[in-house]
Amino acid sequence: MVHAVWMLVIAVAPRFAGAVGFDEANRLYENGEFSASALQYRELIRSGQESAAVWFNLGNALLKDGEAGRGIYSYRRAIRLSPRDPDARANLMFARKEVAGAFAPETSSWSRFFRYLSPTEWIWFAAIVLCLCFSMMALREINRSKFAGFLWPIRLGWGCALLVGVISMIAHSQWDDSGDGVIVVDKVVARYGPLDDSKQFFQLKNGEEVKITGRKNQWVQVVNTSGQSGWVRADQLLSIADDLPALKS
Amino acid sequence: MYSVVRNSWGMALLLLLAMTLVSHAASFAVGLDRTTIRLGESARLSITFDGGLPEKDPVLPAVQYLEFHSPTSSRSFSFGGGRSVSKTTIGYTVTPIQAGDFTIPSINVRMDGKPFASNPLKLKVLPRSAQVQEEKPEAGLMFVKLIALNTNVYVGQPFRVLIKLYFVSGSVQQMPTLESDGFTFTDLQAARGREAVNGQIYQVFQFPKAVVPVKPGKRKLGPARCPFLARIPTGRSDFFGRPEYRNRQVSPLSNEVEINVLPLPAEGIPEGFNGAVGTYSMDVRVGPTNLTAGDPITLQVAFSGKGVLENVKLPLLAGWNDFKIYPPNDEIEYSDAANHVGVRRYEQIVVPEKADVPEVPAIEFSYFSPEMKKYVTLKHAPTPISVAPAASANTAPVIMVAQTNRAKKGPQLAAELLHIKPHIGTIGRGGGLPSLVLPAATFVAWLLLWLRRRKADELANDPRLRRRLATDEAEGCLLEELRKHADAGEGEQFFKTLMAVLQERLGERLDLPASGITESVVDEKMRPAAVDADLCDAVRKLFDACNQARYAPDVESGELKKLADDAGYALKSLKEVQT
Repeated sequence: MVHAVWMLVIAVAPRFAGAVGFDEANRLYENGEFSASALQYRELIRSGQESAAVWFNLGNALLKDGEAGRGIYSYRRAIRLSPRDPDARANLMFARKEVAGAFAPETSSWSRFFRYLSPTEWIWFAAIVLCLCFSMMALREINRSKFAGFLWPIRLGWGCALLVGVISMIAHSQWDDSGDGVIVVDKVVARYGPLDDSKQFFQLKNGEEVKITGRKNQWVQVVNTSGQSGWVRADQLLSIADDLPALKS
Repeated sequence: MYSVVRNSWGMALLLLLAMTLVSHAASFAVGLDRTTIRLGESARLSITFDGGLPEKDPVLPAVQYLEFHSPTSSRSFSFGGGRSVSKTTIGYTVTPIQAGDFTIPSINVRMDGKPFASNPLKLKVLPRSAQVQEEKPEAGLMFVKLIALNTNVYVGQPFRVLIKLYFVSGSVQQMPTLESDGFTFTDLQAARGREAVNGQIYQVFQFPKAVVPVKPGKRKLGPARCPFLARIPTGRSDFFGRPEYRNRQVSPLSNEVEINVLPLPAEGIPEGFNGAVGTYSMDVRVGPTNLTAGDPITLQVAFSGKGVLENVKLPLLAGWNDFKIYPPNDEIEYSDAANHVGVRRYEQIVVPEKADVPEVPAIEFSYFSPEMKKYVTLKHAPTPISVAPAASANTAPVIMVAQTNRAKKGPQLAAELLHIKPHIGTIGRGGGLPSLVLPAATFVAWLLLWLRRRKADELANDPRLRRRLATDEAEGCLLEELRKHADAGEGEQFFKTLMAVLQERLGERLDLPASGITESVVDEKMRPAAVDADLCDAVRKLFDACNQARYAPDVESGELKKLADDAGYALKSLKEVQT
């Protein structure tokens, strides 16, 4: 009994601590201490208390602290966890248009379809379909005559499970943001080559989203929304797939 | 002594030329390829008709001690402006008879009904033994002019210069260079044309440059250097009588131009002046004006006009103590080739840090106007704003406004940054192991049920198996009953039970009806099937005991128990017999 209670405490305590830390970060935000609140939200994420709301609030704090690029990164992470959250989408759009002055990378209808559900939601979707299939099959084993009509639903279920499995795999590849990056430094100069001596090609704004197409040493090759390809230093952008970036103190 | 050669060949040539279409403004030029020669050498006189032909054969003047002979003619066409332009050149070899200074008088012709007259030409003829200074063969065939469109300018005031390359024949190799201290240069689009200078038709390349002085004082601009591949006549003719040319790489230099660069006035410099020189206007837009403390305001400031736009800086917002100021973004859009006319746009984010900030302060921009010769200050009046406090009590309306917008127009039209979320929500990314437990559990349940059903199916489809299982079950009961009868000394019941259990087991093993099993199966079925002989004997013995009991049923309890043990052993062995 004591052991069970102890296990329950261990399970619940971090969540309680996370809620307390979240409230503290919100209080700092409301007081206008955006930098401090951003650090607090970051600590929550680092300690495993990650949620769409934490990423969203971190995005707000960073944006108001003048870090448009990191703010956009945070909103995208929030959308990854909660893709249909209208608040996160609205603030991301606001950050792109009003703050960074940059346009979002174009996405196809297919991509929007696969990103309608988060990777986790796709996994649950596939799991539920599989669960339904196995449940119908189990019922049929219990009483074949009574559940004889389940044969076609089971076959249909397996078809659906196969389809959902394929879609889930495609969706996971669509959600793979390792090729997406966002500029986090003001006035980044993209060069023709991965060298400081290379000629300057074009300039990127803080918060501008780019496609990452290559890496060499401390340089990253990026393509901007105009299709121009150049090299920037790796510390001047964040890959959306990066787990938790360091914040500008 | 003089002679003028007019042979029929030259006349025929001119008549042929007379039939040429005239489609360009006519011009006429006469020139000598060398102005100083020694006695015994020759010079070349060229008469060029550009865009037309003389109405009559030109008459060469008579000059004492000079002979004009070996006339040649050449004609070329070029197309420009959708029209054809013809150029005809008649050449004569000029040979002196005596040393001295000679003047070839002007030659008069009429073209298109207008009289044309060439300039007199001078030719110096030295004695045979005299040293002739080497003339540059390209001299007179090309030259460069540097023209400044403004020679009195202020520091930072852009102006233009023209580098004009005049040449008769040849090709430009690269852009001219203009190296001067205290100026910056921008190359502009070059242009090509024709000009007549001193009766000579020249092709002209114009290389305009935008120049910005960066240091005050009287400064020399130039000379400009024009690398050029000149096409110089050799004075000889080819087989067909056409003049021969040779190419020569030359770099003619232009004249120098003195520019008076004035410093900006030291008096009356407005506060906030940061070096902009030119003529500008300022457009300022501020929005939103109704917001919450901590929300961003965007200042869009556009400077339009003429000048070096790179030097136009957004005024420092030093006195904006109530605002947090972020670094501005900017872009320049030029509307001329020299990049000196256009608009520079700044976008500045400022955030009111507290409520009740009444206005966005005035924005002032100062520049020096060279035209007005004074400093000019542009001012944008303060913009009233309404800033609500950012306390939680006032947070809700902001969210509601934004969410109302979303409800009406969709989230993409939300005009404000939506407020932070009060609840942490679902922690973790989900998925992973928990999402696998549910389908795994249902899979295990189905697997167990499937195995059970499969076992039942096997039983249903195998009568021997079913009989074996039934016999196993019945045998246990009968052996139990057998031991009870043995303990009770109930001989008759004991042997009946013993017979029944033997028949059931043997019937099952031999796949025969139980009722038909007698002691004969031991010899007829079991021994031929190579069943262990001891087992066969034991079974036979049990059958014999049952048969004897019919006649003498009273048997002692101890003997019955021994028989029960033997039966148990025999039945266990029978169960393991493979049939």
